[in-house]
This record gives sequence, C-alpha cells and structure tokens, in this order.
Amino acid sequence: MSFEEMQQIWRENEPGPGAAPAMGQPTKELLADVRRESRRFDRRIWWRDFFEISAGLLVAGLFGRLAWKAQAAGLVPWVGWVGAALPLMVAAFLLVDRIIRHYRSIPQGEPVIAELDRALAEVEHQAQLLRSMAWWYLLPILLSILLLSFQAHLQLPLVMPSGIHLLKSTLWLLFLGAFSVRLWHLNQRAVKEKLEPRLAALAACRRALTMAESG
Amino acid sequence: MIPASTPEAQFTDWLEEHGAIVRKLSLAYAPMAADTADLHQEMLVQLWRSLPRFQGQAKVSTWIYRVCLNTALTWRRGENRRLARIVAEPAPLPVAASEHTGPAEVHARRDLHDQLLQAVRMLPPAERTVCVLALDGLAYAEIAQVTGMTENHVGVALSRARQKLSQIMKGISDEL
Repeated sequence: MSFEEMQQIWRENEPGPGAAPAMGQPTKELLADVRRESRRFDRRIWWRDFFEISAGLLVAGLFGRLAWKAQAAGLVPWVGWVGAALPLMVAAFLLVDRIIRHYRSIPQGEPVIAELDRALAEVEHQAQLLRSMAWWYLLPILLSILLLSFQAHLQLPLVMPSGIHLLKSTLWLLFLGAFSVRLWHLNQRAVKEKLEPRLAALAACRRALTMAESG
Repeated sequence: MIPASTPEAQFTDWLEEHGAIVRKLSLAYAPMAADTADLHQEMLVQLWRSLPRFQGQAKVSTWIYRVCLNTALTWRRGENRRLARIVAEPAPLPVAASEHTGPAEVHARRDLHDQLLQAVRMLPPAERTVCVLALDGLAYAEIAQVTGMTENHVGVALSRARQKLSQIMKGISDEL
C-alpha cells in the first residue's frame, strides 16, 4: 500500500466525538470537565507545597521558641537560632523551586524538540535534587535536630545517671542516622526506577528527531 | 451564552473546529482504550492551561498539534498499567462513518484503518510524530513548524518513518 493510500484511509476515518469514552460529551460539558480537572491539578500542587513548606515553618518556629526561651533563661541562644534558621532555609528553597517549576509546567506551545529539551531539563533537575538531597535537605534538617537535642540538653537539668543519658543519646543518634539513610535510599531508588528511565525515553525521542536532522 | 472574547468561548471554538486532531492524537499515542480517554482529557487540560500563552504567532491548528504532541510524548499517567497491558490487548479502534457507501467496503476500509492505526502505534515516538502529521496531510513546512525540525530534515525523517510503516503494515497484513 502506498503512503498516499494510507493518508486517504487515515483521513476518511476521522475519529468522531464518540471514538472513546468521555470523548462523546457535548463541548460545554467537556469544557466544564477540563476546567474542573485543571483546578483539581492546581489545588493538588498547592496543598502539597503548603504541607511541605508548613512543616519547615513549624519546625523553624519550634526551634525559634526554644532559642528565645534559652535567651530568656540566660543560656547559649545561638544553638537554637541556627537550628531554627536551617529548616527555614530548606522551606524557602522548596518554595522558590516549586514556584519556578509550577511556572515552567504551563505548556508554552513550543515546537516538539524545544519542549523535549524543556522536559529533559525538568526531569534532570528533579533527579539532581533527589541525588543531592543529602546536602540540601537531610544535612540541614539533621543538623537542626542535633542542635535541638543539644539545646534541650543545655536547658534540661541532668536528672539521670550519665550512663543512661549516654545510652539514650546514642540510641537517638542511631535512630536519626538510620531514618536518614532510609529516606536517602528511598529517594535514590525513585531516581533509578522512575526518573532515569524517563530521562532515557525522552533523550531517545529527542535523539531520534535530531538524528533525522543530521541525515 | 458565553461572550465570544472569553477564554471559554475561544476554547469551545477550538474544540469544535479542531477536536478531531486531539481525538486522533490520543488514539495514536495511547495503546489502550482506557488510556485513550485519559490522554484525551490530559491533552484538553494542557490546551486549557496553555490558552493564555497563545499569542497567535502560529496557526491554531499548529498550536494544538504542538501542545497535544508534547503532552503525548511526556505523558506518564497510568504508565505502569499501560506497560503491563501493552502487548496483551490492543485498544478497540472506533472510527466515524466513512464516505464509502457499500457496507462491505466500509467494513474493509475500517479494517484497513484499524491496521494502519495499529502500525502507527508500533512506530517509535519520534517517527510516529512525523508520520501522524504527514498522514493528517500536513506539508513539510507545517511539520517543521510543529516539530522544530527543518523542512529538509522532515523529509529525511518522514522517508524513514514511511519505510518502517510500510514494513509494519506488510507484517500485519501477512499475519491476517
């Protein structure tokens, strides 16, 4: 069969509005569905950002309060202030990154190759964020928790024998370490199992279009 | 009644005039019937979200092709489910009424269309993109506008895609 015959068959069988479920709706209903889905998408993103950033602010507020109390009690306050600043920085970083990503996620109507480049950069950015999460997420939060523990140690009167105190501190540190390693591992697995195959698929599609360009 | 200048009116006009593009692309890029509806809706949502960005530099149909193809190529929703069933069960390929009048001929042409759609779906995404646009009757210049390739390169890519499509079609008809 020639390509011209294929074109003819392709065009004479235009899929009608009922070609698949939900395609047969009247245009107004379809528009209402689209708007609802679009709003749902925006709401979902908003709430996700809200919870993540609120968690950072909450921790920062808690640490700030401890620092303020320590200052009022005449104890070393900088430990608490640094502990409060670290989650605040993480929350600010997340907020800025999310705003930029949300803006970039709006379709620009660019040609396919340009959009593939954009998608590749976006997925690569996500992968980089997860790969480096130990530095920008885990380390500040861990440091912050350790500072909180240190601040609490300074504020609380030492009522238990030093052996038990040492054991409790060691167990706490082990728990924190194990939790962080688990979190890091889960994210690295997500990069390997989800983001890297996606990057490879997008790159293959991009390469196929550019290989055609090089003949 | 929606005033003609509102985004709602513009979107409705687009859908009525160019809805077939969205339907055809969602059929060509989603291998399963359930995914077709999902992809179709996703394309419409992305078109709606992109509406404020449309400045009229390109033709509306070019814009729709771009947004829908970009959505199809980067679409992930239900990916695992799709991959699990991709080989097992091809989607039904419903088509609208044909111009041909004889029932046997209509049936035969529909079968051919189903085979053609099946063959298109078997092309790798990049070749499928060029091929679908050419099957829709777009000229090299329009395909270049949609994809960002030069016209010469569209020719090279299309020639390869046509060759592959013919081989796949031959394979399908030999099987039947």
